Amino acid sequence: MNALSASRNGAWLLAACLLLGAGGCATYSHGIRQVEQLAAADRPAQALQALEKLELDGDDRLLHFLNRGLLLRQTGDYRGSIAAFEQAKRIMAELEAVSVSETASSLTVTESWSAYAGFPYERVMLHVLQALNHLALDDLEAARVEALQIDLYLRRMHGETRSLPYGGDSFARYLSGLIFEAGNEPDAALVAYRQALRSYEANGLAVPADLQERLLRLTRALGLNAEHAALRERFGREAPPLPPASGEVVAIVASGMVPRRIAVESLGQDPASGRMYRISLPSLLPRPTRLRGLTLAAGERQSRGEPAENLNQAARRSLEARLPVLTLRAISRLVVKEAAADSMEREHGAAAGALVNFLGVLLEQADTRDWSLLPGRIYLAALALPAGRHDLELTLYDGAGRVLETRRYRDVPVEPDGIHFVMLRRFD
Amino acid sequence: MKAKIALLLCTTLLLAAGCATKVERISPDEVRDLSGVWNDTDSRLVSEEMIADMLSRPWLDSHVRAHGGQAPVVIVGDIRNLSHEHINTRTFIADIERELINSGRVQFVAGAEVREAIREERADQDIHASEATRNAMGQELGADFMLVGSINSIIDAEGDTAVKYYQVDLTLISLADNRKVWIGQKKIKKVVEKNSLRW
Repeated sequence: MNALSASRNGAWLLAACLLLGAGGCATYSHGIRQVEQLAAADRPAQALQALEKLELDGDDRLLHFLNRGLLLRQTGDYRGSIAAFEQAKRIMAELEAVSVSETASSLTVTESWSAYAGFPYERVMLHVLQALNHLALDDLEAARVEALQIDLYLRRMHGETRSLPYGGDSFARYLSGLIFEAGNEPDAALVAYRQALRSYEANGLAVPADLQERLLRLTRALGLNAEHAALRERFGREAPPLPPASGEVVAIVASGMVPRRIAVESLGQDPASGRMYRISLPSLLPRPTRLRGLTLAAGERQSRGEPAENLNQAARRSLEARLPVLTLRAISRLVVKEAAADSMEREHGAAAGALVNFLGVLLEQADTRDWSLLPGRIYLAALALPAGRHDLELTLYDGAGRVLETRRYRDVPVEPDGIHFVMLRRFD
Repeated sequence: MKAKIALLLCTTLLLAAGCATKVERISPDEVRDLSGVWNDTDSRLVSEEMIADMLSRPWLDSHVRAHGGQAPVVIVGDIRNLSHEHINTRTFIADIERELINSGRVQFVAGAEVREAIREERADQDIHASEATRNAMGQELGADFMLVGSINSIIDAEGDTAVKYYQVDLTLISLADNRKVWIGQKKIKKVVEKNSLRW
């Protein structure tokens, strides 16, 4: 075997490996679409089977546990969901460390050869869904742990503002406040509600009227008169006091799916050299949601739901913020691959140069992975009721005011000063 | 060429060794902190120290003197996890119960859940067990004191370093008159540093 044939064999072996690597990304994108379709068709058990068949591990193991936890939750297996989400948390913590090899490969070869570490809003939503799992199991103490972990994460990663710069933490703070309030910790609840207010305003989202009322009620109850007056002026209203010996039911409805991440390709060819150039960057494809409003009723009493989180916006703004870095890396890869093709052409001839150029183009793939089963929007409705047991009716509406669905909950317990949580997830 | 093959083989063997699952049995008393979260060692050390402190305080002798030398009956109530971590308070309660029982200085009765199960069994005995082996209802030992408490934490974290501060508060309350006869506190502080780089 002479040197030239060895070199050619090596190049083909390299090509085969690279093609296999590129194929892996395509399998994930294709496979997760099927999972999404089954989830959207309200077949979470089958979606879970489809997810297991994908056998996501290695770089995609975080996505496996995130999606698994979400689908198990959907099937009602809250304990299984908690276990999957705890695994996801451990992986996310491990992947906070910067990888030397992944950074190098993203600067020279491809963006998609790195372990999926998740976006900050996904990390916060992981805690939110875990808190909702614990609430579904009536374990307020464990839900409280998640509220503290949300705060710890936001403090650690975003010390000064204690909030995500691109949104996705407003509802997390709001829910934290509800958890503290349910546990009879008004001071901790007030701190969380204040942070929720700041986050809604910083992200240009409407401050839910229920949150305004809670802030007004708590500042009044805790004797923070100056703050109460300032809030009353800011909101232009006063909060009615809750009737004595009453509790609350809070309905949390998550709907739709965050925008689909797709690759936008720019392909060109140098007419002189025949070399091809490709830049692949991620973009978002919005997914429409039908749900636009809801009411929560118990007999004569009724409460209208309000938007409490917009993860569509958080996903868009997070990606927009990351795009400059991704573009710089894509240009860096283009330069490195061009230099590699030049080098191969000089040493082994035009065919070798063309092969390296071809592989470079083939490998230029945007990372289109994300936790795509997350809801696009979250709505919340709160209803104060006398302590006792109540039959509830949750009605969901589309944009035209047509009823999408009515759910009935029988014999729901309402404790004095307690909060009972009702949760619903729609994928459409 | 031979050198290259040898290098390749060595690399493969090293990688294979790295991938294999290794299990090593260690003593339960051995301290191994992997992630810096509350672990079995914390649970054991805190329960040992706090119960030792509780049993060395005047309330115990006072009770024994006032009750003709009879050891007090203690029950462990609710111990709340108010920390940042999902702590299994059941193992902590089990550690406390073990320390209390093994001290021999107090009598110990089962908690509410276990009592219910025992009562069911006793009711079952009433119907199915022979007269000679039946245990009668209404002969339970009532507790004199209940031990309640909480596990709190404060975490100061920035970047890759976190200082974790756990505080365990236990209170022994007289069931006769709600008097707090003993308050114990144990603090643990840990500094956890994470790697900022990985391969």
